Amino acid sequence: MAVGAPPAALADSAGRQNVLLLYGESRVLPAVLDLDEAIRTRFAQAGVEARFFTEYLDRSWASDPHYLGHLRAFLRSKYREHDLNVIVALGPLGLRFALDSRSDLFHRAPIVFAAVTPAGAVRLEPGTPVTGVWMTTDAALTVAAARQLQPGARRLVVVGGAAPQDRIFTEDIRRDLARSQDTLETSYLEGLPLEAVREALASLPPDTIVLLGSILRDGNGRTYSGRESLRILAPASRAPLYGLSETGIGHGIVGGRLINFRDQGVHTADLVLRVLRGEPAQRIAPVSSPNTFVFDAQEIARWGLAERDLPAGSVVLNRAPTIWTAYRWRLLAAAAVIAAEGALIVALLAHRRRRRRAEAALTERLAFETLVSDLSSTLVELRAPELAIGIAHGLRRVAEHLRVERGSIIELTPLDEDTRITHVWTAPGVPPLPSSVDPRQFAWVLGRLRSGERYCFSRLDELPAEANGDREAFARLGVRSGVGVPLAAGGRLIGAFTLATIRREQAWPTELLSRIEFVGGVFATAMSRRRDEMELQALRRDLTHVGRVTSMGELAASIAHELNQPLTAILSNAQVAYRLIERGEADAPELKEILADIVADDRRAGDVIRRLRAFVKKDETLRLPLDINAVVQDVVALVRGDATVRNLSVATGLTFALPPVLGDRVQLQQVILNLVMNGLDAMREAADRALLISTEVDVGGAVCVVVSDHGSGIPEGDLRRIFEPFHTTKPQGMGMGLAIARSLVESHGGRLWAENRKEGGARFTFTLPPAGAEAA
Amino acid sequence: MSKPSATVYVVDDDASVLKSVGRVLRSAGFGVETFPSGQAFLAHPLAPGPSCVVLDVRMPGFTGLELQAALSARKEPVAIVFISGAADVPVSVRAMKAGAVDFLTKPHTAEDLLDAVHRAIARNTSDQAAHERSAAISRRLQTLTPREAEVLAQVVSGRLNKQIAGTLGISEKTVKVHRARVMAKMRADSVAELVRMAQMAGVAAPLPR
Repeated sequence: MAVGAPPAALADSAGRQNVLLLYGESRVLPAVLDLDEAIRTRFAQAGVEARFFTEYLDRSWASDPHYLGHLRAFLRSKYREHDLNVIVALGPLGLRFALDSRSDLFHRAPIVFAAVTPAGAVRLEPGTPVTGVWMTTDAALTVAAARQLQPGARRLVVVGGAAPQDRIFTEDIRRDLARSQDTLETSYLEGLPLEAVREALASLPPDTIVLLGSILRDGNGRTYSGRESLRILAPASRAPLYGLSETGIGHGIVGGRLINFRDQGVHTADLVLRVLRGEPAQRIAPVSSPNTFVFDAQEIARWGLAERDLPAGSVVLNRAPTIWTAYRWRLLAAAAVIAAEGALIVALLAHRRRRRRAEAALTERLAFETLVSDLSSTLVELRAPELAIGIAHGLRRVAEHLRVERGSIIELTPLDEDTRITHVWTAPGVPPLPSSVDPRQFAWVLGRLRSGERYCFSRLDELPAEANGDREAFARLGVRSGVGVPLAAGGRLIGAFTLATIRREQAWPTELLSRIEFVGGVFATAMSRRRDEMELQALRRDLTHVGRVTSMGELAASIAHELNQPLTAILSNAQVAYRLIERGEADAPELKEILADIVADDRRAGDVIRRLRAFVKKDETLRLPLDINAVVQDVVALVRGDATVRNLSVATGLTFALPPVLGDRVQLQQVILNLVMNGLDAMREAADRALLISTEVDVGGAVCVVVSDHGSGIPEGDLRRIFEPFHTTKPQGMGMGLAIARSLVESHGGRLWAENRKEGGARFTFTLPPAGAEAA
Repeated sequence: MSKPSATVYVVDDDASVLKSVGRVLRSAGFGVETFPSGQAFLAHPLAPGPSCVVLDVRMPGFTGLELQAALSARKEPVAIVFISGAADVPVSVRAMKAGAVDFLTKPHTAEDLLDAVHRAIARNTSDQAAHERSAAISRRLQTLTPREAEVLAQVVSGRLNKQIAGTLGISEKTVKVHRARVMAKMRADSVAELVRMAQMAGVAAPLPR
């Protein structure tokens, strides 16, 4: 690929340059592994071969005071004969060591650092050839997100170890938290024996937020990898743990605004490549790699937190396995086969330079295929609302991989209307796409895409004459070469995927175009799925509304009756008062009594209207802690009139002091209403005409609502089928009621089932997990 | 217009409706008695004089229509004004066919209610008078001998004395004597009046030969 030739003097006999990866910590730390893999992969993608030397300083694990001296002596002798083109210093202790030892040990090589916070322990002298990737510890943002998840939280506990790196992280956290105006009572468990930390976490009240820094060494001098300490602390803690980096996801932290060391590695490699191409490091401004809100679905579920409280744009990982997980493993297995093939070929062709290019191409292809399989499996596992973010993420990764400066996803239909740029990614250092860009300026491009054809140009003057307008528009945006492929799903045009270069002109060989089309297919699938799921969601909302309105229709007569009573009384009373006054017969006590009656009836009418409004409201769900008994009573108030008219009775057997459940009051009302109306319908011909609604707590701590009727029961074969959509036994029924009820209960994390009572009639039970057990 | 002696019975399961409707009627000078259910009303003896019943259609236990059926099974005339929560056409048709005076939809104005109640009282007054008259005729009919009743039936079906004598196998002169006694006992001045009374009392004319 287009990489400038390295300065000959610094390359080895094979033309390879020497890169020292200098890690401050042990090689087994997950963060170190992530950084290392990302840097090497990035080099392979760029087609640049380098000779990597690796040193792990083990600063947090080594405690001998003479250690550093011995280490220096060792490194001096090791690198005496090797010129280094660049030192990649990772972590603050790695950077400090590199700065201190650069002249002495490493031939004054330029330094590219990563995994260091700007506020941290290292001072950069101006003029030193140093650049790098700043890391941020977003403790305040993580705590803010935690407070959204745990609104009842009263205190914050920050945990950190005794190793130098641990202290640096804890200091970063302290500094970041000091900037925010948080009112949480905050305490630091710092440098304690891990056993003591474990005991402290085990005795925390659940309304605590625990922010875990790093524990590489504890107060007793025992050393741990981050995951080892997590494995000991996470199961013991009685309050949710939040972390600093994505390496903790899947190992017991709920999440947070987390550092992604792979991202750090990718950005680092890019800087290293620029330095190797000859750019002076001191002239490259350090870049920063922003963190992302990442959370672990299983931890969220375990602590009874709600995904809807997550900050916008959060990535949720570690969902319960789906059918697609199997698919992903197949893809990865395929990638592994290719990798094995690659290794074989590498072995066979090792000596020949020409073949080495093939090796590089193969590695590069493998990297691309891994990227695509990774991308498609990631997109496939995301839920519809997250897909937009997933696509944005994927767009960036693909554009970075293909080394173009801009990529976009456009929504497009065969007709002229509805052209919308939904995602744009622009490389750092390139002016972003102005938001005022009107897609209609690209008439020729859109014409081709609409007719299902791709376009590509290596230079602007390759565009045909009829594309003059497009050419000018591209030129205004600084585009020098570009490509775009139509995206179709189910034979229907849905959009386009475009890439452009700004800094240079680029050719688009057929092989590259077919790759771009391949990636386009992945995006097309995700986009169409996103649209389908959005439509499905809208449909589900509508159905819920329909269900509610249908129940409403059944209830309308009874509600009209309920409303008419107070209205009739008010009108009559008002007219009597008027007549009495007109005839001069009014006496104050009588008028007062009449007015009091009017006020009471007006209140009564207002209550009816309020209940009514709650039922017809078509809104998004709102989950709040609520008392299920109150919800049951709402429904009873609503149906009692109807039941009386039908000569049925509705009784309640409520268990008091139930734990609150987290739920949408209207939706739960609807579920109970549906069960009660079904029960009343079932007792149309029954001898015993009483319906019972009871509440209780089951052995597992879940709150149960049980609706029992004295009807004829449910045919044994139908006990499951009644929950299927459009299954109905009622002449006027749509068959949606129970299907909707079940989906509503399940969306609350509960279950709904039916059984026949031994003594006759049916019993519907649904459970809801208690809200307060951990979170409140 | 109002008849202070008239009584209005209000039956509604809703206490505040019962109270306010009662108030309206009392303010118009009616005697008012209120009942929370059909059963309570049926168990209560009615006051003498003209009256009417204001009845809610939808009530637990005994619905308005069922109460109407129970009331018409009694022999005394009764005027019913229905009040319904919903303008339910089939129910209102059934109620009117069964003899309801009016069918009001809640919420109704005091004027509508009073108009309907006045009409119902007027209807009840005339119904009671008619009922009284037919009761008197029935009492007079009871005083006729079997032979006189036979002669009456023949007379009201328009047969001549000679024909009656032939049919009953008696002399024409005897027919005349019976006929004069019937006219006197029934207090009829003419054959036409006798015919009207017979119709009112439901005396079927025997089929002409």
